Amino acid sequence: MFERGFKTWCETIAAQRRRAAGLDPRDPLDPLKVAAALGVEVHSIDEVPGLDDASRQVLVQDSGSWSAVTITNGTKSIVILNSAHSNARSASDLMHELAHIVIGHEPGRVDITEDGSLILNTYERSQEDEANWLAGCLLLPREALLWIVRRGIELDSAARLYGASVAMVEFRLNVTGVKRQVKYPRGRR
Amino acid sequence: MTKINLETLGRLSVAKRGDLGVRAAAQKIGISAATLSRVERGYLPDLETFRKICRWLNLDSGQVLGLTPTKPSSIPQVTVHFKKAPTLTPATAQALGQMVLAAHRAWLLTEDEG
Repeated sequence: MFERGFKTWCETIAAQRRRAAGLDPRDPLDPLKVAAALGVEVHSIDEVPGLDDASRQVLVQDSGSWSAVTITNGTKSIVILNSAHSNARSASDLMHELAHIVIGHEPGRVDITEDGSLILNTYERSQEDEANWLAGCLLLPREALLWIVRRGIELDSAARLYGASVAMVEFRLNVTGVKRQVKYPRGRR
Repeated sequence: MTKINLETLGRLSVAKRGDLGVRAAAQKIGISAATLSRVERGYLPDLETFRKICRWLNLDSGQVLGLTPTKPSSIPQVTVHFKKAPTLTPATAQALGQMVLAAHRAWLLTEDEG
């Protein structure tokens, strides 16, 4: 699914970002601080000046079909989050957008049709998968997951502590094999 | 001549495939059946998918979209993260287009020109 070494690279990035912020490897990492460190502005739909009410209403009502948009002019990037989503969901969405920037994905060019509709050039599934994985690592790196399991911290408490959704904590625990690692440590039979 | 737009594209696809199932037609076009089905219901796909459907229908994709020629500096570069499938309803696509343009005008255009 990913290029060899990508998952290890993601864990390294998660550790580096924490070190740069003066945090321990297992500390929660606030996506807004990562955005600030990257020089990325973060806004909600309500803060977009000049956006007509009808468009704003459609975007809030059809909140299931979009999560976040990153716009860049080559030197500056801004992220607009869907304010209809929960804080945990928004944190994941923001980390996802930031992950695209950290990985260095080329932004897709957008075209605006005669009637003002947005149409993307391509939808890169592989880039979305990479950004999802790195976002998960940044929010819940392996060190944090090991700490959660060893301490026997409940899923909802862990989710609150790390600003993630319960589903995200569960997903990370499953895909990293951390539970198994704690239950069956190397060298023990 | 009736102007071809995104909604008529879905109808043209239904007409062209006739008795051919969505799955078989999608395979011919080179896209997923789910995507073709959504396009036939009026949803907006990404441009690459769009071009493939237009090629299959022998249509000029630029004419269908009615792309507005704009100055390079006024075209924002944008990445969108979708929750589910990479298709949008026309109303959402239009609202997102307006949001991108408004945000670009407010926060990025001055720096582009400066």
